[in-house]
Amino acid sequence: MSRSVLFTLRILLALLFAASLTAQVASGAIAGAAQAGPLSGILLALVVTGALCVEVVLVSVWMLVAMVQSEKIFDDRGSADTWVNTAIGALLAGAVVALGGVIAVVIVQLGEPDAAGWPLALLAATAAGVSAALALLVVVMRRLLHTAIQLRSELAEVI
Amino acid sequence: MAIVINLDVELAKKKMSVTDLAAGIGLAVANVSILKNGRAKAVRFSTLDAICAVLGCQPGDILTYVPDEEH
Repeated sequence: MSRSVLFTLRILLALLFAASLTAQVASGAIAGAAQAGPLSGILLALVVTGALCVEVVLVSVWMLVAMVQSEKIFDDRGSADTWVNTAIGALLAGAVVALGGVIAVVIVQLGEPDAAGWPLALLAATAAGVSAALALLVVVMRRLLHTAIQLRSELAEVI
Repeated sequence: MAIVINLDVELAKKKMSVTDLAAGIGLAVANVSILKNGRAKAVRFSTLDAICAVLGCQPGDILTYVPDEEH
């Protein structure tokens, strides 16, 4: 794996992490400016928990990239598995949170309709779909990782 | 194991040590020991080629088929 690719990836991961933290810190102001009433609270909760899930995924990817760099990614002690599972868990949690957001917004809309309600529901639904799809993609990639680890350990026994 | 490796016999014939053979074929001494003690699961043709070249023997001199005893 070329050094420049890994280096660039790490810089991007750090930038995304910083952006995610910024979103969390400024979430109160963003939600207050964009919405009023119960929708503001829902938006605030979505941004804070969603950003937390994104941060966990970023940390997992960071650790996996470190393993790739030190060529430990295919070691059959399963240390890579821990981080892959963490990423899957965080992505699934993100999907559940976003889905909860959709339901909450719909309930609020049925009570007292707001012009900005439906776009917010659509945005949360999109986030839920993307998050779930990514989680399933990582599950498939984990299977590939396991196959690669198995092949690597089998080949290591050939003299 | 039905396939037996007689590397120790060939080494004794040529009065060669495991270390010398390892150096000759460019393998780690540990791997040659595994091969010699019959604990290897698979051998590369390139390894076999190098062993035969260094010891001046045929693969058949190193590999023997011993049928499993049926009880």
